[in-house]
Amino acid sequence: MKWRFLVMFFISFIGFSATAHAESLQSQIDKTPDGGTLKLFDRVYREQAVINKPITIIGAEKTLMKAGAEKTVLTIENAKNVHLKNLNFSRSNSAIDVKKSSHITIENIKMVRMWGGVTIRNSKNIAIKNFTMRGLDGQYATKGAGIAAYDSEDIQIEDSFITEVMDAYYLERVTGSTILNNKATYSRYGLHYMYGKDIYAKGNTLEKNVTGIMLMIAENAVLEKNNIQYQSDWNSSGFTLYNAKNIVTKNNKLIGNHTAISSQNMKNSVIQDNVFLTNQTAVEFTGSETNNTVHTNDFLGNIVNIRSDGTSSDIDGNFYDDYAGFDVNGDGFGDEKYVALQSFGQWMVREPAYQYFIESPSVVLLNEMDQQTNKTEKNQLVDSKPLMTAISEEKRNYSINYFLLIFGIMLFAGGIYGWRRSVKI
Amino acid sequence: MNQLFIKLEWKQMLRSRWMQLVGVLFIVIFAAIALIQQLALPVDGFTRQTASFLNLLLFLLPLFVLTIGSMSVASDVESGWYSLLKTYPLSLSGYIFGKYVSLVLSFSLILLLSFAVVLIMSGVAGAFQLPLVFVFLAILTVLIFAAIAILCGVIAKNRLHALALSLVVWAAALLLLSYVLMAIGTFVAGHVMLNLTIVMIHLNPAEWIRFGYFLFSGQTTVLGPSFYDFTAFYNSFLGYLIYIVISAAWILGPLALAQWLLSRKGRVE
Repeated sequence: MKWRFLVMFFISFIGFSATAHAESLQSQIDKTPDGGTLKLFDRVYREQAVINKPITIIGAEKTLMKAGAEKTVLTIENAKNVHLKNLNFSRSNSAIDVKKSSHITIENIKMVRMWGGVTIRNSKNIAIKNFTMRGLDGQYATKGAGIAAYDSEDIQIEDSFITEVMDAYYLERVTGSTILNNKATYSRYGLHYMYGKDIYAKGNTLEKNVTGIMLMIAENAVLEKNNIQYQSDWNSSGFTLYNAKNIVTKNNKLIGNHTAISSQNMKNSVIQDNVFLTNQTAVEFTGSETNNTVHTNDFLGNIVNIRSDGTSSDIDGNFYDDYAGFDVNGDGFGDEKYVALQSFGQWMVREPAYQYFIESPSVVLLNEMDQQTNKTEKNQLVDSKPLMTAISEEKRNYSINYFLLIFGIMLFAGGIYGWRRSVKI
Repeated sequence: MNQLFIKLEWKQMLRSRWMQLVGVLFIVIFAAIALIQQLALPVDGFTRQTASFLNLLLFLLPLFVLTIGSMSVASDVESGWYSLLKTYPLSLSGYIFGKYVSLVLSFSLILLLSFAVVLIMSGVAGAFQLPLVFVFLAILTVLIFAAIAILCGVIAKNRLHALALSLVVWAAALLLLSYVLMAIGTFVAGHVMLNLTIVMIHLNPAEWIRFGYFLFSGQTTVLGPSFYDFTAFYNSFLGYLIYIVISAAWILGPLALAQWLLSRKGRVE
């Protein structure tokens, strides 16, 4: 009798827990009370679900969500105070759609092989943190955005990493966005703003994208302390600032880009305290205004420091590693002005085919001649107070490589011995 | 006889004070470049430092190869040494080939010493500062300009003429043709300028070698989007093959022309 009871109990227990594990995500969400917490099972959820009430959803270690192609896994619609944590997504069109919602937090989310990540529309107070996404292989045009926000307010994205998508972070008609300490690689645009206002981007690393930050028809932006490096493909740039106004780019490090900052029709903006290191062109102005200022930046090892289409900007107090003047009165500024104007730089802006000759022997000599003839230039691309010392300090570590040293010495000694032996009668 | 002639020529070349000075000059310059590279920041890509390194190669190597090589041939004709050689069982092609090989070997030895200095400097700094593409291009520069130097020497009537001719070829290849093309670009349409530049890349050995740098270092994007189709073609297998064929043509063409001109000279005499 006792044995029979125990067997029955065991069978019913197995049956109950199997039913609980098999329960659909939507059913679990529906059963959770408003403001309650739903802890998901360690299983794969192959379905779509809609959230329209305050809820906290926490994934287990192996919780994985899939909805298949052309489908979105989670839709948050007309909801407030929704918090998503520790979720993994794969092989779906999009992971999370947020529509007409507010006070949403999305944290510790991982996704691979997704067309798009998170899409936010007509929402406000959205915070995304620790979001990791790897997109699909193939052309940019066949991929979606990592995080995309449209017609929304107060979007905050922090500590996220997105790679191999079209635009890693895309914000269109968003007022008030804070993008902090994120990374984007191998995408079309790292950070893309369209018609944005009140933008703040700090501490982001944007590497090997077509363009690091694309800011189009936007106003009131501060872009600071970002590492923008190796955007070196065809038509690539670190920042493209197009038809933007009241933009401050400061304390950024721009390394090895095709064009570090491409400013097109920019108004009332400031480029200051940045380090431009070994870019092909550091700053390019087209349709610029004189109330754009470029000051206290370091220009180190760039092929062309500043070039323009003939329009002028206010350039003042920068450090140029190719400045050949002296500071006799010891005020920290060169006694002669620095003229960044190069005939060749201007030609390259007007006729792209000239770019073939960039830093060729003939152009190097031409630039030397330019330095002499442009001394009479007073307005265009002239820095009247060039700094004598750089604002940044870059150092490299030295250590002896004995293999190279010994191999080099042996090669040199062998060469000298061979030479002497060959000339003996 | 050919081997003996090459040995003799190489020995004479290395004994030349001029060649020894060139050797010292190159070692000093490469040491200076290696030092500058170590002061420069460790950044990948086409930077002002790499451009300077490339320009130095393009400026100095062709200059010395052309002047020394052409004067060596012109001197043979002027001094009567060539007439004496003709009395020996040495064919015309043997003479041209011998001069070419000895010139290439001499400059290869100078390059070897220079690269050894860069390796020593790299060893001290702990970072390898000699991209293989530079080694490859330096050798290609010697191979191509040594052939052109032999041709200049054959054309020239005397040593002074050879020197002048070499300087004209050097200036045209490195500077004048580029300036002419840039000037043409001010009044022709962009696509015409682009096509003319592509033609010039093939017809000017200095530009051909410079283009080789961008091609083999994977830096073709430096040339800008206008050259996308052109560089995409040269980045293919067929493109590499054509690069090898055209490089070979730049070596064999001048040598064949030099031989033909020398045989004509011989007949006229």
